[in-house]
Amino acid sequence: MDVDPWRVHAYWNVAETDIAAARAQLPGGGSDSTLVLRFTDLSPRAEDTAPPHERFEIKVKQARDNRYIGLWRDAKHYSAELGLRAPDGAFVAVAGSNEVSTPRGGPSRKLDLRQVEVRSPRSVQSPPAPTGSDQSDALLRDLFPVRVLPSDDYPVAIVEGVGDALDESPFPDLADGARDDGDAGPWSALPPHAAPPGVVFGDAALRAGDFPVVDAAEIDPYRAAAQEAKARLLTGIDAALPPVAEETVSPTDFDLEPQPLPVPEPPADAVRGPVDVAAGAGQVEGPPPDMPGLPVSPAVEWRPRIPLEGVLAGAASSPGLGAFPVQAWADVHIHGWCEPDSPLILFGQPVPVQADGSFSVRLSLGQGPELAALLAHLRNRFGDGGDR
Amino acid sequence: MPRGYQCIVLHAHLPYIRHPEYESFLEESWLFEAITETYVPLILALERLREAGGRDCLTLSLSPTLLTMLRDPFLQARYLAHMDKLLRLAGREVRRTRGDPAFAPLARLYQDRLEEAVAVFDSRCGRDLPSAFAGLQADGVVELITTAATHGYLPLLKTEPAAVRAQLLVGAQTFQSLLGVPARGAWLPECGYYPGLEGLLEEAGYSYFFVDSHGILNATPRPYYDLSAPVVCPNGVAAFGRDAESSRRVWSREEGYPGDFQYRDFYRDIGFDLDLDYVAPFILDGRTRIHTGFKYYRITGPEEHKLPYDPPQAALRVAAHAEDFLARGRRGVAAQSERGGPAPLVVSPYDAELFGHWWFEGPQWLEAVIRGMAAESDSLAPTTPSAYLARHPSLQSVTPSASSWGEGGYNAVWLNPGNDWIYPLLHDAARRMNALARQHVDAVPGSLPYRTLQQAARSLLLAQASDWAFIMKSDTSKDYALRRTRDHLARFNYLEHCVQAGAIDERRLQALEVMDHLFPGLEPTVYS
Repeated sequence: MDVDPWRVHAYWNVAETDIAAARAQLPGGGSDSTLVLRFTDLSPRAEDTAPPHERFEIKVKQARDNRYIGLWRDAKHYSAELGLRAPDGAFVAVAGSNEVSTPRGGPSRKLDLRQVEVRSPRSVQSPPAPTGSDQSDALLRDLFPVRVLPSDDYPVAIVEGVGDALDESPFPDLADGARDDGDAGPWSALPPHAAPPGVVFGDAALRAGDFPVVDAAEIDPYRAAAQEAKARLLTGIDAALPPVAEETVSPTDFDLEPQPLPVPEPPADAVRGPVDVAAGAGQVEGPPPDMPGLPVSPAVEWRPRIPLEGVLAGAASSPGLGAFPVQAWADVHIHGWCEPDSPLILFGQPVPVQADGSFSVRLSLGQGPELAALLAHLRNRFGDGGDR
Repeated sequence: MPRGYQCIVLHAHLPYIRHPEYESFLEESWLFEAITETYVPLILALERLREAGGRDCLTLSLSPTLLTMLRDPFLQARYLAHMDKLLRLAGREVRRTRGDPAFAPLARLYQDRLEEAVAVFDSRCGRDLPSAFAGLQADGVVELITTAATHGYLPLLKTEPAAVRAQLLVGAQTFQSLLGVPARGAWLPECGYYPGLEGLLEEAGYSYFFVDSHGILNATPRPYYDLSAPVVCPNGVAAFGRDAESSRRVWSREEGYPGDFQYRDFYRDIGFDLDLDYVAPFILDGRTRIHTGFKYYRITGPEEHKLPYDPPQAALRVAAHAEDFLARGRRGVAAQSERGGPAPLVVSPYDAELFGHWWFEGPQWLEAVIRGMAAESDSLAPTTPSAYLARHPSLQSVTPSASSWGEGGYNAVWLNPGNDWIYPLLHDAARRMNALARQHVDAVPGSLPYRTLQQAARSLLLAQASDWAFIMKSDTSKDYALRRTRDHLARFNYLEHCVQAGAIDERRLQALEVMDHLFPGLEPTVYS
């Protein structure tokens, strides 16, 4: 590739076996041969007073590498070969390049005033409308377990849990930093010759079983809880700001005025409250290893949950709706165990603690950051207590 | 008849950034800021010019990725959510600065501008800015052109001509399908030209393109009228050369108008100046300081200490700078007209996002320049390339020289030790895409193999965007550029493997179609 009128860039990636085969063709097995880039000047004579087919070579070392090559003339045409050169001048090529033309570095001496008519623009035939990726509701539900619900001004798809991140890099070391001179850097991580680079996704797959599908009946309490959470968030923003003069409140600020902190009573088990515990089902969580001897929490049902960061809340389109935005409502399940008589406080409200010390609450998240403080009065094994 | 013409070209482009997988994403704000600070003010200025009877005021290049994002309901909704947050901040600022004679009017100014941007975007334009621009073109106020599909830097893709061809054809088709009319001219990404490209431009239906000054001055044969007239390639596609002097007056950090001490300082922003607790609710993650757009100081001078921004004083400088620009343009065409030949033309292309975003007063200046030309159109009149070529359909035939408008004038910005590792991968992927399309030329539209081929082509196009190589050279957002290049190549590899193995996972394909949701009608055969 031409970098500018006086510099080109070459990269190459050949198999060591090809180099060995080329070496074998040289007299004496090519043991004293040198790997070189051989440039051939292909510039037409009419454009250039230099001798045609001028050659020059640059020694290189590696089968995969790149090099910037300075030139002494602009407006030239070159091709290059990577090969082995013996001391007697014999040369065996391993790979050849495309032709490269360097730009002119100054005005041409040629003057020709011939004129040409400007061509008319023409329409490029538009391709047919897509037929394959209609992203129908059914497919989306299958892919992302989506429920499409009407919203105030645009359709909203609620996504319960969506699969792994799709964009794991196939080149984990490839672009960790810019290449420094003398350091192959990312070049060293290039895939070897003839091997297509990398895999694409991580081990986790988008399998249907990975995604808990939400029934429509479940969504309404989630939405209600999410709206409450949003109200809490806005109130939190307001509380975080310094007080200002009230008489200059602008129309855009009216909804930031302090509101009573809504601390909803648990409306239903689905939103807040104890989670049914199926004894012996799924994963059993034991006490932390650094606190042995405390009672073991009963088992809770375990379903694979996908980290929020991997949520692909695909804003997709469907034929009926056109494209639409997506919001993902999520809830946090906080469960654990404590001394049976310890008071537990979340958002200023007591959290029920079961007779065996286990507790379980689900907290719906609204948009934006949420800070949930869970306070417990704990006693350690020596009888000391304190809020944590 | 005017003695000469001034052709102002704005190139509006942003890379395709859309992350539905995140609740919010920093780089998406590039689009939101550009809508508020550049595109909406530009529409308002052009509408005022239309009402004043202006014609051929401006040439505007809208990149296919930008058009796609502006038409994306997901990003439109996110923009309004972003604006809602900024309006809350504006209200806070109005109250915080109340009683401060220097800052209170500025807070109110920003509040008014934000409210106006929302009203224009949401109500007047129905969230559809491309159609607003198309309406201005239909009324003869602007000429709209476009660029390569994902703004691939064509001189470094040319080793695989099919890749260049696809960039140009998909770009032209996207423009036409989104705006309903073909683009007459092409903006070459980064003004990157190489001899022979005109053949592919012709194939994509274009009748003209732009190159940097030395692309014309070093053309073969030598251009008789230097930069004061466009030239025509042997195949009939015209080339317009950038006027270096008028470009420097706007671009140059030292000599350019935007550096005037009365103009608003871009870097002093309450996102950095005020307590983090105060701005936290309005920035991305509550922790990372970013620009909010509330900037209260003028450039003042090279010193750290800055004085409050004074819009009336800045407006005086806008008028003076517009007059200076026009005076120089008039002198230039007067001198050139003595040589005879076609009416002298001054071509002044700029990045659109300079106006309003970086140079706050830029849209005002632009409007003042165009109004100034209209007032004295016998000496210097605004024009568009198509209008000029209609008057001068026959021009000197030359082949421009390889060039770009990047630093150094050639390819070094996009090919250097900071980013050169991407090219073996991009070239290899282009070769494989070409082979893939040829092998599966009979794939039935709508079938899984066809959709997979389409998505592979989308992934390749996205990996080729010049933005990533450019950003890798700089420090800001470098990790993001690296990630985007890797991700798109990874997706291409996967999709190629699916087609070749005959094992296509429709769920994964669907997921990729949702994530990289552009060029819906892309035909894989564009590579075959």
